[in-house]
Amino acid sequence: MKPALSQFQKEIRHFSLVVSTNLIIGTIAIAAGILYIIAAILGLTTSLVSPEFRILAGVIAMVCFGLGVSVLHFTLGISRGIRTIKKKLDAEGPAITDDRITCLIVEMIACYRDIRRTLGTIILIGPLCGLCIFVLGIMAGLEAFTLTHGGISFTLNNRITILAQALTLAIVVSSLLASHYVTKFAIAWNQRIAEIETSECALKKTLGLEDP
Amino acid sequence: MSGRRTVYEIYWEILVYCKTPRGFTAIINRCDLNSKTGQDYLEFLVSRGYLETLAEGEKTLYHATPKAAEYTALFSSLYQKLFDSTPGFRL
Repeated sequence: MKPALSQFQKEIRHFSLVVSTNLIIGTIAIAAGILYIIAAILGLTTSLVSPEFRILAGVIAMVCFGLGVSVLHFTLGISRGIRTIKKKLDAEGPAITDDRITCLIVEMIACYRDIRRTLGTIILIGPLCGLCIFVLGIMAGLEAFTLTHGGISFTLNNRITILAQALTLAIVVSSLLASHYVTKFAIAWNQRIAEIETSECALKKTLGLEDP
Repeated sequence: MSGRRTVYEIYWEILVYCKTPRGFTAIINRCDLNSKTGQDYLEFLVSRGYLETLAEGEKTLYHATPKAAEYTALFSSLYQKLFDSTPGFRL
């Protein structure tokens, strides 16, 4: 297999995985947001220690919901183009022609130019979304909370809650990792766009469009 | 193919598609161009000798000339080279 094709396939596959992770995080954030808005505002949960805490949890839940919707919306926008390219790439057999490889690369570059700005937004809001889920998990698990001049003391209610918080911690870590890989992907593709701009001189020369 | 493309990418796409003779409508549909810009691109490629026109009844077909191969080969090598030097993307 050609090295360019192998690298291209690897990147598209990995990026699809990262996009799927972001979709899952966005969905969890929406679900957690709705759940905690209902629980905090209607006071259905007994774990929240005071009304102020319930209001705070409600506000964070709304932020979490909003971020979740944004992550889902932006990630779906990105995933459409990537999935189309991935499908085309998977449909090609080992006898893929040089022209077809170049065609898919051009398609990916065109797609990247379209999603470039959105990627920046996702890099920022993805980890924020994970952080909101984590904070909500902590708040829901509080049994007692005291804020004094000496510091903060709090008690978490039981082992199941701690397990749930470990899960929310895993979501934060996943969102940070996803953001990290989206950043790496964006850096690599920005370099490529810059290289294309440089190589345009050679193409211009071949077409006889050189400046006098 | 849609999305933001440079003129060089569009030229390459047209030339590769016209390796077998194609009509105007087929070219603009395949390359996602409107009639006005499609006409401009084709006129440019014909004027530079990258495309030749063939008459088939009342239809005009566009066919890539051997000169086009030089451009498409250079384009392919430049774009595929992008994946040789850039840092890897691993999970």
